[in-house]
Amino acid sequence: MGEKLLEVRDLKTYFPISGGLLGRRTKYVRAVDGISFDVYRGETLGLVGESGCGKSTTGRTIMGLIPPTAGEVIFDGKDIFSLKKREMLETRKEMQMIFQDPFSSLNPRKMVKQIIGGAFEIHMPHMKKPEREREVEKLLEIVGLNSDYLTRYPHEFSGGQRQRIGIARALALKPKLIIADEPVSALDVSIQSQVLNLLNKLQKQFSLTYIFIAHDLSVVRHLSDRVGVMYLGKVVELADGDKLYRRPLHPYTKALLSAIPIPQVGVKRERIILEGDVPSPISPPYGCRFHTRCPYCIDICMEIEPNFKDIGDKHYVACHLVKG
Amino acid sequence: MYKSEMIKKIPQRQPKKKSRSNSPWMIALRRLFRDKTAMMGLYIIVFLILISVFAPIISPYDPIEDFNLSDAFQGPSMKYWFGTDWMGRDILSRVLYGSRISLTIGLASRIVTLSLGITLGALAGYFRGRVDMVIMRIVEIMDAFPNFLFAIAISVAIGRGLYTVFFALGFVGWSGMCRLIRGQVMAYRESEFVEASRSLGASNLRIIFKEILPNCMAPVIISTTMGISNAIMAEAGLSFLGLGAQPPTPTWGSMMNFGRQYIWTEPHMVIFPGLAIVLTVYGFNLFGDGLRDVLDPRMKD
Repeated sequence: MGEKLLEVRDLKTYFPISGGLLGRRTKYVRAVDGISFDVYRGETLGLVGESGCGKSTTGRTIMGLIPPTAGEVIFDGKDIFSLKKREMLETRKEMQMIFQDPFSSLNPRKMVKQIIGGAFEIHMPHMKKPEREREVEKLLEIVGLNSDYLTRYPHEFSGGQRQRIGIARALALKPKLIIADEPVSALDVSIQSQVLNLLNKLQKQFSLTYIFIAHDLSVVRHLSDRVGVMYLGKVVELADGDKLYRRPLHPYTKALLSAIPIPQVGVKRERIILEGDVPSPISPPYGCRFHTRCPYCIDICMEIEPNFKDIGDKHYVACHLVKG
Repeated sequence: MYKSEMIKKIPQRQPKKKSRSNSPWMIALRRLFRDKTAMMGLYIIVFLILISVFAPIISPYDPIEDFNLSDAFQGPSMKYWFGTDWMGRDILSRVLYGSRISLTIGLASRIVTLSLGITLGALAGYFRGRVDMVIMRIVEIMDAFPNFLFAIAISVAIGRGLYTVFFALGFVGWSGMCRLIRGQVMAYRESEFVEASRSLGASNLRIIFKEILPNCMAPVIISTTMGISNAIMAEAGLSFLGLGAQPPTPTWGSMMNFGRQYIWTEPHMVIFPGLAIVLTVYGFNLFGDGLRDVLDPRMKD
């Protein structure tokens, strides 16, 4: 594994809930509650979890779209939360995001050349218009779209084509890191694999690093080198993709993996059905956050929060039952 | 072999050369031209604009200078189509010239409304928090006054005259525009394309003007068109009360005001300027309704 491109240290993102007449901030939604992980150059880190577990918030906080509550994010040696406005603008070029919904992520009033070319307008204000259009044409070709589409509007494209436009926009500034927030979950299954293959191709072509956020485990498996599993604002397990899929250690990961259907007639796997719902992130359970639903819960789980520890071979787990 | 040939034969769909623009605005415009109600309204508006531009050419008399006391209080005739007023001035000419004042007021007051409403609404909706608090409290105070009374109060406070009316009517209307814009901006600021723009490093100004506001324009256009007819009515009301443009400037409202005294004996002095107001307001309302049908997202597709 190469050097670290991104280090996330004890990152917390809370959303205040204003209550009362004077808007006092009484409670917080702990969307991301103290997570740490590293992302290495050129790899794909998958982040999986149920909806509401904080995976999208993590991505947006790293992008600086949501202010963090605590913790630090070190990107390429720079602590991005302490950067000045100008420095942040420069750093922005190096990390970009691909969004989930290809319909709301493109401004319906803008032409393709404006959507993709916006990046150049912001960062290279001296670039002449024809030159900008040439760059946009190049980007369109890179993502597999016809370069004649320059003057078209988003409503003229299909979901898959729109997502390609979104990818072209993210690539415009030649970023090092791309955070893909469920980039294919809104697409037809037949289109999903096309877009995933495109992402794969681009990663090799431009030596990109991905943080790939998804709730679909098979999609993540297809693309990721390492996978982090999130539950209620915490990373509960983080390991090499193969290792995690073959030998999950955290009970939650086990339950998640057992839910993947096996594409083979007659083969059944033992399914672990989780009871109940995800607890509220406003007042997460004491001790281990998963203890309310964990089939293996023991006394200590209800009282002490397990450490996120390395049990060897860069396999991190937060569970009392796993001995390192 | 056979198979690959089959595949090759499938014609690749060529992007067809476009003769028509496909921007969302152009699509709406094309739909607008097919909407009979809206086009009726548009014809009326264009007709009124032509009248006000060419008033000096088409008026048979000068609305102010050509008074002839011996012809006072004449009913409609071949010489004076709409009759004459108490000074013997031709009412047709005065009605034609009056369209200038009405349309100017309608448009000028909208400029005040739009600039105040869009600026403050966008600030409140985008920045939220304290900015929003302050602006919305002001809006609520504005809304607590009955609009027309407020316009009268402003007119009285800063003196009579045409410019006072521009300002008074514009100032009265901005709170509604501000609410409208604020709501729209609040909805769009959370959208993914705004986040995308922000992650590219776009400034707040760029996001507001290039990403958000172009998406908010449909309701603004509708409400502005409707607002023009309201402003024209309000101007007529103010003139009727003697607060608008001062005599001898011909305005529909003041013509009705002076005609009011003779309404039993010389009703034409009130009827013709009244009809002019009705026609104008009706035209703008028709057009506004048509625009709503075309632009309102809930009606789309």
